[in-house]
Order: sequence, then structure tokens, then C-alpha cells
Amino acid sequence: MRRILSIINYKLLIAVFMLLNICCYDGGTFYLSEESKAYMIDTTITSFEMVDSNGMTEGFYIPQDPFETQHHYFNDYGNGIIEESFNVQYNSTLNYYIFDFLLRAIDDSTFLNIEWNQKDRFDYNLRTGEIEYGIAPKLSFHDSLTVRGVEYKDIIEIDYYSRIEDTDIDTPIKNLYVRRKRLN
Amino acid sequence: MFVKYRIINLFTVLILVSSCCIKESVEIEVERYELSEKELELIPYSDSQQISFIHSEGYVFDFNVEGNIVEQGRYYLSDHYSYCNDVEYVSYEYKRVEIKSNYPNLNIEFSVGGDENIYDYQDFLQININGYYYAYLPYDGSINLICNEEEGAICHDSIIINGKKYNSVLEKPFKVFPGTELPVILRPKYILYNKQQGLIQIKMSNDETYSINN
Repeated sequence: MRRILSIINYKLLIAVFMLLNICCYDGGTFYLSEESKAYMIDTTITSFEMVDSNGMTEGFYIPQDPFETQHHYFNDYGNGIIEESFNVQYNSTLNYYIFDFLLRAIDDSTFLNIEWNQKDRFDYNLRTGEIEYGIAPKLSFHDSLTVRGVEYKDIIEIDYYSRIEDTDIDTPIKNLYVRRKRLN
Repeated sequence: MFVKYRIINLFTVLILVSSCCIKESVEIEVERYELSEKELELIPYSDSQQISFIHSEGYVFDFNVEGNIVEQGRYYLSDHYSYCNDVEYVSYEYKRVEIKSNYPNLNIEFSVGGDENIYDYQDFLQININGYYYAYLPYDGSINLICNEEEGAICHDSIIINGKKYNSVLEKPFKVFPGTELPVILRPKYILYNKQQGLIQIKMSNDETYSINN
């Protein structure tokens, strides 16, 4: 009797373990949220110019090497977890600027990741509205904003002014990003 | 058996001896190029010098002179890792000066004279911005900059920049090497240079300029 009970208990233990595995680690594919897709940069625009507050123009371009031209992809980590990502990198033509933009699905969240010169970066959780990694700038959202005489809608303002001492000297203090378009 | 053993020993010794060099290899300088005083003066910057520049929209910034070196380089004519054979080389003197600004983030390098990677002694002043945009300013036997119009050069007997007159200024387009063109509109297009001041102006493709500010 005791032996039968121990066998039953043993099988019960295995069943519970398998159930736990199914519920908490079943792999799966994580997709970018619908809201985040509005932030995707139009990658047909392979170059553009920006003017800084001193009136100096800089050009930015998407590098044309094969790795950088695949912007929308699924990361397969080999453990059954697949994450959808969207990534664009811009290099500047005169100065040494590198601007990296990444949208990444992790679990049930989509993260917006912006990085300058491979130094200053932050991860913004679009679902919770929290910055979960990096030197946190002040984020502001504007319905519209006029920049150099042109009105833009759906603006994210990224302001590092209060964290200027913590950021690299080459990181722009303020960026304005237009949803559905590109950095302004 | 004993004889066979001695033959083997002798053979072994012969092999060992033949693998040694009779004498150690030496490096032999077969040609030497040195820069003249006038060539050295083609890059007129001095250590720790600060040069004020101004953007066409009015932003003023400084270039700081860094990395002002005059050195001898070697170009080896044969495999210089060979242990037994003598190695011949040609030595070149070269001068290299860098000027850097923090913002805009510009690193401009000037060099004259050949280095170990160039076989033929070059008679031009090389200028590059951020290691990407290159301009080559040839000079003649009197160390005067040559204005070769077929390469797009423009010769200015004198030119006024920010209210000051500069003489014998060479305006030369930047080179972009085939296959490395960037899909952009904005790039440095021309450089203006003279022997007395050095860099006078950078003209961008959108007509913005970075000019010496005296």
C-alpha cells in the first residue's frame, strides 16, 4: 500500500512539474504592440539633414552594409522564445555621431530603445510608461510642435538637460522624435 | 653497427648545422628620403596652438593642435621577418599634425612625406577629415602648392575671408573613393589652404562654411 502511494505521489510530482513548465516556460513568440508600430521609422528615407541650435547642418544616413539593411526581424534565442524587433541605425556624415533606434518585444511589453554614439541609451516600456534602463531623460509627448517653421504632430521630446552631467559630451541634450516619420 | 650509428650521428649534426645561419641578418637602408625645411613648413602649426574658426551661421569654436610629429618610416623591400637573409629598406621622413575640435566633432590630419606603406615618395600634402574625406595638395620643387585645374583646383592669388586677406590660396575638392560614396547630400566639398596659415576654410556641399576666424 505504501509503495502504491509513493508511486502515485511520484507521478503526481512529475505531473505538477510538467504543468509548471507549460505555464511558465512555454517559449512562444512576442510581438511588437500595435501602438509601438506607429514609432517605426520610414526606412525608405535613407538620409536626411538636421540643423542644430547653432545653425550648423549635419547629415545622417543609414549605412548600407547587409547587416544594417534588415530592419524588421525576429530574434530567435534558440530556447523557444522569439522576439519581434525593429532597428535602424543612422551615422552622421561629418561628425562622429551614431544614432540607434530599436523597438523590441520582450514578454508582454514593447520597449523603445534610443542610443547615441553607442554610449547613452535608455529603454522605455511603452506599456507601463516607465524607463526601465539607462540614464533616464525627461520624456514629453506633444500633439503638435512647430520646428523651424514646420508643424509636426505626435512628437516625443527626449530631454537630457537635467542629466547633462551624466551623459556623454557628444550626446544631444534634446531630441524631438516624430511618430510615423523620423528624428527631427 | 658502430659505423652506421656514427653515420647517422654525422648526418644529424650536418642537418642541425645547415639550419643555422652563418651570420645574423642585418637591415640595410638602400635609400633615404628626408623632408626639407620648406616641406616641413608646409604644415605651419606649432605644438599646443589654438586656431579659432567660425561657421557661416556664426558659431565660433577652436581647433587645438595635437599630435605634431616628425618621424622616420621604413618601407621594407623584402620579407623583414627572414632570419638569415639581409633585409633592405627605404626610409622616409614624414610629418603628421592633427587639429581637433570638440564641437563640431572634427579631427583633421595633415601629413607630408612618404610613410612605410608607400613605395614612391609622394610630393603632396595630404589632408583628411575624420579619416574619411581626403584632399591631396601637390607641390613642386620649390615647395609651392600646384594649382592643377584638371583636378578641379582653383587658384586664388588672394582671397578675403572674414575681412582678412590671404595670399596664394589653393582651393581643392575633397576626394571620395569609388564604392565609398555615401547616400547623402551633405559632405565637405572643398578645402582652402595656404602655406602661411594652413587650413583657411572648409566648404560644405550645402554652401555652409567653416572658416578661419582672425
